[in-house]
Amino acid sequence: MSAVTPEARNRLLLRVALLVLAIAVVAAPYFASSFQIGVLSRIAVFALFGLAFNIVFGAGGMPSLGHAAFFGLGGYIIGIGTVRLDVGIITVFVLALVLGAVLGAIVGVLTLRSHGVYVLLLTLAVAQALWGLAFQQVRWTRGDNGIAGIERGLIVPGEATLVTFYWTILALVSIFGALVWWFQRSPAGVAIVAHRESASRLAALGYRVSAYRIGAFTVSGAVAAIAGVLYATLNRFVGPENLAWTMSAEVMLFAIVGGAAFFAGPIVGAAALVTLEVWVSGFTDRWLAVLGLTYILTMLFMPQGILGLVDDRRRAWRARREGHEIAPTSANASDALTGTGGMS
Amino acid sequence: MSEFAVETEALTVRFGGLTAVNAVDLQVPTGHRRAIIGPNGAGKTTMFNLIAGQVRPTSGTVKLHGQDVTSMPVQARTRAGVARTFQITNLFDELTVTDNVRLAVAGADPKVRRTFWRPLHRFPHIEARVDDLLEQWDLADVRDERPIELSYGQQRILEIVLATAGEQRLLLLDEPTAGVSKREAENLVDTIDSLPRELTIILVEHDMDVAFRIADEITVMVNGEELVTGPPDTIRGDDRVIEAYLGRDEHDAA
Ligand SMILES: Nc1ncnc2c1ncn2[C@@H]1O[C@H](COP(=O)(O)OP(=O)(O)OP(=O)(O)O)[C@@H](O)[C@H]1O
Ligand SMILES: [Mg+2]
Repeated sequence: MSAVTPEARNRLLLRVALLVLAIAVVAAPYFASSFQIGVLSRIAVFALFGLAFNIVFGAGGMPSLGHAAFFGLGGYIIGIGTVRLDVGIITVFVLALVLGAVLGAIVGVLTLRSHGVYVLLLTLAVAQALWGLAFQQVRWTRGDNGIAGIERGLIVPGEATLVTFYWTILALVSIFGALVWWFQRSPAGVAIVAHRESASRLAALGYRVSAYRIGAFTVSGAVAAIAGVLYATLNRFVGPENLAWTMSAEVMLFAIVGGAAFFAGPIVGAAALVTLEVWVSGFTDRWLAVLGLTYILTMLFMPQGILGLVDDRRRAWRARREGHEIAPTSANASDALTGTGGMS
Repeated sequence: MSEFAVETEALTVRFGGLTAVNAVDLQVPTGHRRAIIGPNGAGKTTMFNLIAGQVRPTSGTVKLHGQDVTSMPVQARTRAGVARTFQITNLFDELTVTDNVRLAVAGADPKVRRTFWRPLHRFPHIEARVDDLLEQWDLADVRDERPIELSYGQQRILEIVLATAGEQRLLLLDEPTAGVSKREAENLVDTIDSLPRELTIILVEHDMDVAFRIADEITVMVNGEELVTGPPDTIRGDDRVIEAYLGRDEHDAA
C-alpha cells in the first residue's frame, strides 16, 4: 500500500480543486464576458448575504424570514448616505455594521421567546415594517422610485472599472466571509450551534442562552447589512424591493439549496440559484414561480441541499472502502447503515 | 459555609391543578450521597428541575450551600456549582464528542465562553482539560464521533462528563442507569461511586440495588411529598415505604 491514504488524497484533491476554482474566479476578467463578470459579482454579494443569514438559520436553527431588513438597511445607508447626503464611504461601512448589528440585536430580543414558525412571522413583520417605512418616508428614500445613482467608484481604491470593481467586491466578500468563518468556530459560534441542539443543556453548562441568540442575530445583521451595501453599489440603486420579503425568501433558499448545515452551503446555493435565474430569464419572467418550484424539488430530492448530497456520497464511499478493507463481509451492513444499500 | 449543599423549605410547585412537588423540606449535607426514590410521577425530576433552576417554584425556597438561589436562572446556579444530567439524554447531537466536552469546560470559564474571534479548539488550557476528561472517562477513542454514534451507556457517561467538567460541587443524576445494558450499568455505577467524595451527589434511581449501593441516605417521594428520609437499612424496613413502593415491587417480582 502507498503511504498516502485515500482520505488524505481526497482532501488534497479537494484543496487543489478549491484553489483552482479560487484562481479561476479571481482571473475571470481575463476570459469571461462583462455580462458574466456582472453575474459573478452578484453571486459573490449574495454568497456573503447567505453566509450572514446562515449564522441565524443553519447554525442557530432560527428560521428568519426577515433578513431583507438588514440587507435593505445596508442599501439605504449607502444610498441616502452618498447620494442624498455627503457621507464618506468608510463612514457608510461603519454605519452599516453598527446599525445592522443594532437592528439584529433588536430582532434577537424580539424573537427571544419564540421558536419555529413564530420566529419566521416575527422577523417577517419587522422586515415588512421597514419595507413600509421605505415606501412612506419619501423625503429620505424617494419612496417607490428608490435612490438611483450610487457610484461604484466609491468602494474601489484607485481607478474604477468593471474589473477593479469586481475585484473589490471579491476582496470585501472574502474578508467579511472569513470573519464569519472565524466567528462560527469560536466558543460563541459553537455555542450558537449547541443552542440549536439543546438550549436546556447549554444553560445547564453555565451559558446564558439568550445572549447567544441575540449575538447570532447581531453578527448576522451586521454582515447582512454590509452585503446590502455591496448589492446597492452593484446595482447603482436601492429601492423598497431590497427590503421585500421575496429577498428574505431568496436568501433562505440559498442556504437550503446549497445545504444549510455547511459553511459553504449558502455560497453554493447562491451560485446555483443566480445561475438558474440568469438561465431561466431567457424564457420566462416568473422567477418567483421558478424559485418556489426549486424549493419543492430541493425538499423532495435533496433536503440537505447540494452539499448534503455530496456529503452523503462521500460517506457512502468511505463506508464501502472501510467495509472492504476491514471486513469484506460487512460491506453490506455498512452500506445499510449509511442508507445507501441500494446504490451500489 | 453552610453544612447543607441543598436545603429546601416548603418547596411547592403546581402545574395547573396538579401539585407536582408539595411542601418538601429537603436537606442534603455537603459531601453526602442521597438517593431519591419513588413511583413514576412522584415529582423526583421536578425536584431536580427546582434545584437546578429549570422550573421556578410556586412557593418555598431553594438554598445551595447556604445561598438562596430561588430566583436565579439556570446558568447562574451552574456557576454556583450545580451540575445535572437529564432523565432523557440531553447532548449536542450534531457536535462531536470533543466539542461537547469543550463547550462544557469552556462554560466554566467566562473569558472563553464569551470569546467570538478565536477558534474554540485554540485554548490550550481548555484542550488540556478536555484531553484529560476524555482519557479519564474512556471516551478518547470516540472523540471525533457524534453522540448518537455512541452506545447508550457511553452517552450517559458523556452526560456525566459534561455535567462535571466545570468542577462542580453538587451533582444531580436523574436515572443515570435507566435503559443502559447490564454490563454498562455496572461500569456506570462504579464510575459514579469513584467520583470525588467532596462532591455532593443526589441521585434519582429506579434500580434499588444501585440506589442502596451508592447512597448514604435515601429519600422516598410519593405524590409530590417527601415520605421519609433515612439510611438504606431503615428505609428497607420502613412499613410505609414497603406499602407505598417496595411492597409493590416485591409483589411484582413474586
Ligand atoms: N413542566 C410540566 N408541566 C406540567 N406537568 C408537569 C411538568 N413537569 C412535570 N409534570 C408533572 O408532574 C408530575 C411529576 O413529574 P416528575 O417528572 O417530576 O415525576 P418523576 O418522579 O420524575 O417520575 P418518573 O419516575 O416517571 O421520572 C407528573 O404528573 C408530571 O406529569
Ligand atoms: Mg423523572
